Amino acid sequence: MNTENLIIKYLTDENSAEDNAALMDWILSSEENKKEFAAICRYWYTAGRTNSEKSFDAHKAFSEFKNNTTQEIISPQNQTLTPQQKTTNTQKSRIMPLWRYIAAAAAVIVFVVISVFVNQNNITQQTIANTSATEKEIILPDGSTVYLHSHASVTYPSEFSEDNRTISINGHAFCEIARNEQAPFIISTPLISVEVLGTTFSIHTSNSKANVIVESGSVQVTKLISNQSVILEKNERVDYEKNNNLRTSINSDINYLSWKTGILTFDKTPLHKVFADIERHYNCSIIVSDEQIYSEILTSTFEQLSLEDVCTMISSAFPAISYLREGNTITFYN
Amino acid sequence: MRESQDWEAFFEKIYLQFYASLCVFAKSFVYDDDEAEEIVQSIILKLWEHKESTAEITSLKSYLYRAVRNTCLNHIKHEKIKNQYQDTSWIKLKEIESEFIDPYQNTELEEHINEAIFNLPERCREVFEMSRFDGLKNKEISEKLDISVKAVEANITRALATLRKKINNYIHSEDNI
Repeated sequence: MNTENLIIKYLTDENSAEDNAALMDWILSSEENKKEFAAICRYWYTAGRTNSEKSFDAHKAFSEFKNNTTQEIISPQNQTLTPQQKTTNTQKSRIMPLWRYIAAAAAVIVFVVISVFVNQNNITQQTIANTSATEKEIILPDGSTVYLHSHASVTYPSEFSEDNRTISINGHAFCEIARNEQAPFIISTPLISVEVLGTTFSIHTSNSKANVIVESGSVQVTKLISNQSVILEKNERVDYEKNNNLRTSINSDINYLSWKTGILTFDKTPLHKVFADIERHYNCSIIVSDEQIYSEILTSTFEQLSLEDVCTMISSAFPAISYLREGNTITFYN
Repeated sequence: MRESQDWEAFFEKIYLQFYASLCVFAKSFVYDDDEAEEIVQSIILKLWEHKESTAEITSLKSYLYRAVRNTCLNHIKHEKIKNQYQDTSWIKLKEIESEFIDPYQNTELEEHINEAIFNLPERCREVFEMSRFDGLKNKEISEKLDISVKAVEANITRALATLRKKINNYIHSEDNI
């Protein structure tokens, strides 16, 4: 395919990842090419500018802006919600079902205390393992909270010392760490250690690999074997496989906390990715009769739904696609 | 420090001068009107929150464009609006493309281009306008005009090639300034 076609595909948003990679190679191969690319983009965007601007109403936008800002000046305690407050409120109400869910789960005995031993100063170390299928919330002595996914465990003292808070985690967990600058919070795992001040993040460890995804604040992750360490900020993640280096990246997995929140979100997501998230969340397996199905795009949010409901919603979103469920295996077909 | 009425006038000016073109710019990243507006509004709100220090912003226009660019690039990196494949090239292409933001403000160039579009052969112009102005996908255009997707692609290619030829001299004289 010639380059002009690649550029046009790119501009009209008809490009595949391979097209883009090829175009990128071409652009980087010479300064001339880069200029040519820029020139064509320039024609393209300049051509439609005035026309495109018509779809945006500056006057309307300005009055919205004025509404937002004057409320703030005139009466900060105004009953009317600013957009920020509105968002927090919706977030709160979205989280509500989770607590009901946890309350229901708590009615069942979901954890076992594996070992309790006493060391000097009467501080006991205890290990709690979540043997149930649902998550378990553990509140630590300093008020920090650890949510254990099924089969995860945490070991912590009955009381933290004044200058550090050390616990260990095995398996998959989400941590909300209470801020205390005097006593850094350290999580030791078989392969890495994670040091934080006050933050929320998810951690997944086993004997062969580990990953940490930060939801807020920042954490320092150190590889035990070589002391290589990285600092992660919000939305960043680190992945580690035994005998490799720590690999950091921007987290693109928006559903990494679905096990805790019960919420699966898809935004223009191709079904192959949707299915992967559903498989992980419901611990099921999904097959398709025709690979074409994988490339359909879905935008939707599933909150606390059963697997059956999710499958029904997907098949109603795509009239041509139906499904068949046999135990934990679901087949989508045309 | 300005009085609040002065500030209002100051921000009104920002809206009237820059809002629509900033939205168009943001849309070239996010492909969605509402999302583009949301991004631009959030940037101007941020400017408002730090309005006491706007004196330090030497060029408001380039500040705003840079803010939109960075916010959009962050946005697409996080949301991966494009698709869920690990398409890092696409983001890099957007980065390169958006380095050339200022020329989009060139009215003279726009006039030349509009004139060239006007003089394109009928079908060619129709396809180009549907693609560029109406944002239709090639498949949609092919259905509307009852021609093949290949023909749609060919017409867009032809339109851009013609534009390029016609404005070549003009662009080169620009580049040399």
